[in-house]
Amino acid sequence: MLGRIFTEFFTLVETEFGDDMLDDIIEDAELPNEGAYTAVGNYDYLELIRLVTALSERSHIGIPDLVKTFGTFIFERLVLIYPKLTENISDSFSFLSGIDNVVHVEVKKLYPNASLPKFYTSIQDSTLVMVYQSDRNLPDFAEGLIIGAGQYFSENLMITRQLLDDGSTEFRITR
Amino acid sequence: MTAADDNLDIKWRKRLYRERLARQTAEKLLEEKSRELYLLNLDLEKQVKLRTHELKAALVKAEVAVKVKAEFLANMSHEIRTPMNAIIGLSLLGMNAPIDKQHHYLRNISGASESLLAILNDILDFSKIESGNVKLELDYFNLDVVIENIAMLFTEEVRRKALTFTIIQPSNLNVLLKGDALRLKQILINLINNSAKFTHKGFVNLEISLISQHEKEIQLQFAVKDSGIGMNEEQQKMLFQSFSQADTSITRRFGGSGLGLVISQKFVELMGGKIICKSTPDLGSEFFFTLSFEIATSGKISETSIPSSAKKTLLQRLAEAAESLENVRVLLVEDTPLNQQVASEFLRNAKLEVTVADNGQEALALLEHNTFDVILMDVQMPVMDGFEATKIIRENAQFAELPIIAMSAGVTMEEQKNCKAVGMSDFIAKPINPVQMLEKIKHNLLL
Repeated sequence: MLGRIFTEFFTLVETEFGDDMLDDIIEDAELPNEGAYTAVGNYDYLELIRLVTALSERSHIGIPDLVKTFGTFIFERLVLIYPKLTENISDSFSFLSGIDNVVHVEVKKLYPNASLPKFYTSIQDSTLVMVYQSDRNLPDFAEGLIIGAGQYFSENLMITRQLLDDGSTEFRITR
Repeated sequence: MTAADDNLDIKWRKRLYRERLARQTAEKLLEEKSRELYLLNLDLEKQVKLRTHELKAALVKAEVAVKVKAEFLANMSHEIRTPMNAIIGLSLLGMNAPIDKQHHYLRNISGASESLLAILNDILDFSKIESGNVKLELDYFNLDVVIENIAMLFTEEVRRKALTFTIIQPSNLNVLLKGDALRLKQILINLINNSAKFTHKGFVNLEISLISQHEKEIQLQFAVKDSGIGMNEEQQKMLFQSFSQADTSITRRFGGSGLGLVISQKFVELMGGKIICKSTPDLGSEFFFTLSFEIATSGKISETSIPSSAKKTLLQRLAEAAESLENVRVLLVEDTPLNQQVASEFLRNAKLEVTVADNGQEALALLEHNTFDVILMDVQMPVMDGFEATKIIRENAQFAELPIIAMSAGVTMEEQKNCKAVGMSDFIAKPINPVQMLEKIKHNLLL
């Protein structure tokens, strides 16, 4: 998993829970690099899961909620760091439909080794149907990103989600 | 220091350690990335250089090709204008000449027209060779027939120039060779024509010698020798290059497309040989090549020897071809008035009955109320073309067997195939050779 995700997670923990909380969960998670993440590195995503689990235990907030919140947070941050991502895009459906073919294509150029989730999208009537498929299977994180997109474009999104037989998750989004 | 201070100190140390470790990792990664980028850049530069070089080469090639094509056009324009000049000039002179002199003009016009046709055929062959579209038609043939054909063609021509023309060949081969007889004949005719053109006294010989013969293969050498003006080494080097007669002024003196040797060389190469030239100025030239043929042993050599008519004059051959065609009813479908005149006069002179239709639709109307034995059908016509008309005629069971012979200036294999596909029975190429036209009519009427 891209180091940027880890460093952003640290920022979130620092701003929402304080520096000490960050120290504590790094300790709890027993990380191989003792939490020395850099944005340009690449790390095992299980380390992030261990961090989130530790945060959940200490904060008494459920893991799904934490992951969703982190998804929303990271959308905001990514758009800020890479303004090109939303260049010429004026609504959430356009952005979400373009993740696979636009955003991920650019990510691959910068990080050829990155393993990225798949988002299959289609528009049915006025509903955007998004099927999320990932080896890491973090549908809460995906939902958080979708919420983040809605907030960024100032749209009120209604999101329902359903687990499909093959283990992927289908989101139906209306606005 | 209190215990709390201690704790804080440890905490800060840990954070500092973490940050330092992160920074070092990041620096290492960044260094790796820049090295990667540097190498990528080198590779890119190399690729750009390579591509630029390739593009430059392609550009030069394209420019040369354009230049060659332009030269080809200029050259062909020149070659075509030469006989055209004769045809147009002689026609004008002939019209104003007293009637007893007109025959002389007409004969020369006819000669110039034949050269024009030969040049056009050369151009067609050459462009086929250029585009790589030449395929040999391999079939068993009798070499004797090819040689007799050639003998018949040249005897008169060479006699007119007071040259001796001798053919020397291995006696009694008695085998069928597998190869493209038409192309072989074309090559030999070309070489002999060349020799005859540049020889003013003495001889032109065609010598065929047996190099080796095995059970399934035979090797023959073909040589055309003359006692003509010959060439120096410089001129010989230029021989097989497109449009380069040894001296461009030669074109003016002797005519010809300048493509003959290129075409012949290409065909010989396709057959697995190579034309070699030996020549001495003022003494003469020799062109020879060696080919191997698969053979079918004797026994079933089809006696397709030259028709006896071939040895006769054109007028005699015309008369012979016209035999038993008297009163045959021909429907001539042709849109150009001059071509209508040419075909119908040839036919009427041979005592056939001719009805003319200007296009396919008129032909259909005429067919409703008249009976014809054969239709001669132009292909490209206004209102309704020959393909369309033939399709409609063939739909009527009554005309299923009626011979429809295409008469077209589109002489490619493709065009001939299309004619067959819509149901035409045969094909006559324009310009019309009257003997061939009559023979095709006869053949299709099973006379």
